[in-house]
Amino acid sequence: MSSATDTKQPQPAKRHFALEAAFLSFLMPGLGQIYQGRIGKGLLFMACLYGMFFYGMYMGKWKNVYLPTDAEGEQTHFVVKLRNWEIADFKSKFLGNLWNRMPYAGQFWIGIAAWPALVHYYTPADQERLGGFQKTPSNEELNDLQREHGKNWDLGLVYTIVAGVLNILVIYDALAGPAFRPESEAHTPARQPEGVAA
Amino acid sequence: MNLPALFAIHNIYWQLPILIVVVSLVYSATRFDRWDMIIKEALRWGLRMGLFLFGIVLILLGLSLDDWTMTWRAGLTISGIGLEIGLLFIK
Repeated sequence: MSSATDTKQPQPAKRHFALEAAFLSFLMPGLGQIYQGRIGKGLLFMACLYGMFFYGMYMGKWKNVYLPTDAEGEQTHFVVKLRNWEIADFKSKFLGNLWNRMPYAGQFWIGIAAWPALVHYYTPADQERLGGFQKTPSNEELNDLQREHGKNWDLGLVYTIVAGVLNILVIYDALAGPAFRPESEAHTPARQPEGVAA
Repeated sequence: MNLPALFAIHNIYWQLPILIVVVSLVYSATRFDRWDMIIKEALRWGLRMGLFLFGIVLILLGLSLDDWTMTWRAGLTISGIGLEIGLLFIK
């Protein structure tokens, strides 16, 4: 026998996860929203995040998005411990290089715009691709850039990281919709028990 | 502290409003689909971030303006701290 409250409580609508839209928003900020028909929001995300990312690169003289390849030895050795228990012990050159250049972990999420750095990561040092765009600068070049451009260099890096990290929120918006849905979509009528008039 | 330099057009602190506006807009647009709610929430967040940073500025000014009187410095610092604490209670 059903209780009286079964017919009164509206059930929250089930969330649907749009993986293809999320992937599109990962590739280009806002593309997933455009694919879903939320064109205004998609264009807003694209303009804001790409604007911030490329403005940050401009302030960093187009040399603040890169992934170095010089990690070696103990820098590539990772031991994961929980209290005194060793959970994992492994070597990873990629993780070692990422650890040495943590800003790229944030910049990566902007999508295609940060992929040239990965292209250069897997390209031999004596070859140059994409006109050297997002190739790791030499230490001398990095020292000169930071000395000459000071705070603008640092702020440019912040802009690129913030743009990448904000795209994680955009990806989730494409995946599952906005955090707060309109009232008309938020609830569906509860299923009526058999024999009871609606 | 060189106050004229702080307001020079090439000062990097003029970049902060851009960051606040963009972060507020993008964050609010991920919370709502309706444009009126997005703008309202973005203004709310932008105001909160702006006030938070302004409070930090007041505190730092109070601590760093060596040639000002202690009364002014204490007033600035306490105002900044009060603003930061007040933000905890503002919705």
